[in-house]
Amino acid sequence: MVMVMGNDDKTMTVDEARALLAPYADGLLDQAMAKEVEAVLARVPELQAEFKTMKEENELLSAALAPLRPTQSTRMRVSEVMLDTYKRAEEADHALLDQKSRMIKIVMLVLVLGMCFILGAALLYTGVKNRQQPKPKPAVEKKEPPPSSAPIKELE
Amino acid sequence: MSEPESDEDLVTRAQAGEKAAFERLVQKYYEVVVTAAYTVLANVDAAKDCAQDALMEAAQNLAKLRDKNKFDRWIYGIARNKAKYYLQRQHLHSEAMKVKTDESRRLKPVASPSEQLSKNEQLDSIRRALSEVPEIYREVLVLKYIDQRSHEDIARLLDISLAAVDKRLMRGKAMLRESLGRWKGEN
Repeated sequence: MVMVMGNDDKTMTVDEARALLAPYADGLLDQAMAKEVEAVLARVPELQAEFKTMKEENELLSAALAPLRPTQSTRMRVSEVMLDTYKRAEEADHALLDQKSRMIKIVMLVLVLGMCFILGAALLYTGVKNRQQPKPKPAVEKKEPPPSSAPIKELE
Repeated sequence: MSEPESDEDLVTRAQAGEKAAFERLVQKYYEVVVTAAYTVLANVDAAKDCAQDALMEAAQNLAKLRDKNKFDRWIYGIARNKAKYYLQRQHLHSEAMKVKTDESRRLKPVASPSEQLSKNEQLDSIRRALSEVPEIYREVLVLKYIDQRSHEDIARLLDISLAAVDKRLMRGKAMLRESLGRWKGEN
């Protein structure tokens, strides 16, 4: 293991620098850490070669994926079509909602009319039935003798 | 200096029908959508077609999105599902696709400079090698190198830890190197 000799214990070793090489190549290290890696890189040619390969790999990978990146005009066109699609979907939703509320109103109306019809029919039926039934004879009331105004003579 | 727009803000504005908000969302997430499609399909042309379809589907359903802060995951999910559907369809028409691919290979420009051709071949071999890398590693690699997305962004998008992102990147690159070695060996 190649060690970078420093005056204090905080000096980065080659292995530590190697472990940080990938994030360094991707530009993910903070400035202080990047400087430490650079210091080791400047001293160790072996690490420089590894770093160079890593950079080339990253660039190739990025270039290989380039055809997937849309052009600015494609983005603009897509965003316009998206907006159009969104608006049409919104309109369709509103239309569906209107249709639904219309349907609900119609169903309610039909229900109310139906209930009115049933109620009317029931009333009519009751009325007809009442008319058809013979009237019961009024019960003869037992007439009680009217209270005599004359005082009852006491039997003597 | 203006503050960076949050997804919540952009989605709210888009739901109100603001054109600029749609442009910003496309600017921010087109690559994410393409990556989701490419991870599943491993084919540039199919991924681009699928990404556009996924974006249209997202636009159709945008009004239904409640958790606006999770727009990135939502759209990534739509693109992945769309790509899986594409893949199923692709399997059904695999023979037809094979013929088409062979034809497109034959139609390669032969008059281009040899250096350019070799560069194109090199990039082509990387893409082929990438298609051999398992999906979970490929998606991290593509997300990372398609537009230099940060590891935090990738972790959030895929709902994994930062350490998992680093690990998958490292493993993915190692696998890619291995695949590339195999390709080179064959050629």
